[in-house]
Amino acid sequence: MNLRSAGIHIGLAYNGYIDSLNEEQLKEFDYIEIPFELLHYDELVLDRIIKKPLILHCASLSMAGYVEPAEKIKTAIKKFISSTGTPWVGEHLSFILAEKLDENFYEEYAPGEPYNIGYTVGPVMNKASVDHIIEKITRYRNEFEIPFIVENSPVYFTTPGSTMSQIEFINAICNQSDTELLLDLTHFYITAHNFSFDPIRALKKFPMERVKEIHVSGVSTDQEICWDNHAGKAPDIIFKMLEIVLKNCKPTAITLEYNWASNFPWTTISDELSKVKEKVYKTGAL
Amino acid sequence: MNLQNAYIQSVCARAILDLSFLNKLGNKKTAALKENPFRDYSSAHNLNALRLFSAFIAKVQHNYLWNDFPLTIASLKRSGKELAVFSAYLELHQQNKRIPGLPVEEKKQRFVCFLQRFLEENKQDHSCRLTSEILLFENTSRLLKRSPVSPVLKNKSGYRGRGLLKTIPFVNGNIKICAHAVNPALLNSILNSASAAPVPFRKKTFCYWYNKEKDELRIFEISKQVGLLLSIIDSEKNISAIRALTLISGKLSLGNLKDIIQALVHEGIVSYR
Repeated sequence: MNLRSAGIHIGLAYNGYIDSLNEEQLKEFDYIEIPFELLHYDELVLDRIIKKPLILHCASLSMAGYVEPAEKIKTAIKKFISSTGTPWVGEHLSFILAEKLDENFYEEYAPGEPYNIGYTVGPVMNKASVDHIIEKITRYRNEFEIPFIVENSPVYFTTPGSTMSQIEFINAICNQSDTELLLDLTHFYITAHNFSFDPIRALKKFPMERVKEIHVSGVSTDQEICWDNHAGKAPDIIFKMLEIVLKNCKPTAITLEYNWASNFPWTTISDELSKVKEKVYKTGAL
Repeated sequence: MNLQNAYIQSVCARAILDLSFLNKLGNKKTAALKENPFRDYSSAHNLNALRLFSAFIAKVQHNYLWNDFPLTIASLKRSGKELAVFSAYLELHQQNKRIPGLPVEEKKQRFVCFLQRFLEENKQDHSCRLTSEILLFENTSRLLKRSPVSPVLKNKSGYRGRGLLKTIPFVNGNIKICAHAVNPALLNSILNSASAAPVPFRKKTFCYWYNKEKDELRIFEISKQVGLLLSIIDSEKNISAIRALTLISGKLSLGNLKDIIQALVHEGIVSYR
């Protein structure tokens, strides 16, 4: 199936267990979403999933960061944009790189380079950050010659210097640019839970008309904070949110993002897929 | 470039990557920075969330544990102890990250050692004790499958007496004798049970037997005496040495010894050279 064709496509985020799925199971999905970071580490993964259309997902551009990624990283991203034939690149609205405060501090991911957290972190959310992110999205779109869609990160703490909520922040980016979005429903729910607002009502303030892709995955609660959990099934509220979003927009892709546990059971994936399909059919979004 | 935003994000990054720096940020008497963006910012709540986020990242960076320790991770998750564990591990995790090129297997082993200590220190908590049993089961299984099988026809000069060669028993595959307070065969069902009733703990001896040719792991309950005997056989003593050791230990009569070895041979666990 060509991802550029009309209709909603349903895909699965890559994890090792995909290698053990049979043809019939793989047929259930229109595409595989694969992180650039995995391909960069193990390019042979591409050989194993070559039969499926691919969407490239990425964190390494550190979209909300103030440090430019290394040229070798950009070159590798360009290479995989070309070899995967991805229709767009999904990037996180977050940073993983930051300028060092202490030159003597060592960490493993990029020795001799800026701080590399190795995980996406929600940025300072203010006007200056909006301008900065729009400039980067525009520049990267031109540089990589492909659309970048940006994904809402889960918010666990308020970054100092922030003057906006995440919804205000994303609206500001959309109001000042033609950026399209990757709406991670689980991240949205987590942020709502951690900042005590109703995710269903808050969705109405989200610029849904810009949503190109949707992510669905699980949630866990620990130490009274709600956390991202790609190793567990999504709670019912995520599917309720999906239904609302599908009634208000027509995304191109919905990705099941269960990619943390290498032994994630097929029965659970199949159940989650059925729930997504049910919402797609129910809303007539297909 | 907005220097203020860049600076704040650098402080966040450093705090996430360096626990000692994060601790200094929260200490008003310690000047971690000339300008601390967290100082006037309901800092206690945010810094605690930042600390937990750092532990959460450490947890995600250990997702490879799902390969070998799925039940252990599931048990930690079910008991709501994942972040407590990774918060406690954070300092060691950050130290590991500063060692260039530390192999994943080594990281895995370091985490297992830490978790064994953590669970032992918290064994009064029923869930920690159960997780400890699960960790022992999964780690033993993992190590058995990874360890090389003893070469069956290995020459040992001390065993070469005339007519003695065929009297040397050896273990087919790899074994490990473990004391478990819960039958390892029941751990999966206990973990997936909806029942909240505490599991009774009672120490018993179990033998893990991994047959590499068949890629088959069997676990069965044995007496302490059989455990002792199997350990001695596995250390490649000859039959005379086994007899002497077990009789000296006062645990087995000669008749018992023969019967047990025959039973082990019958089961395919032990053979004679």
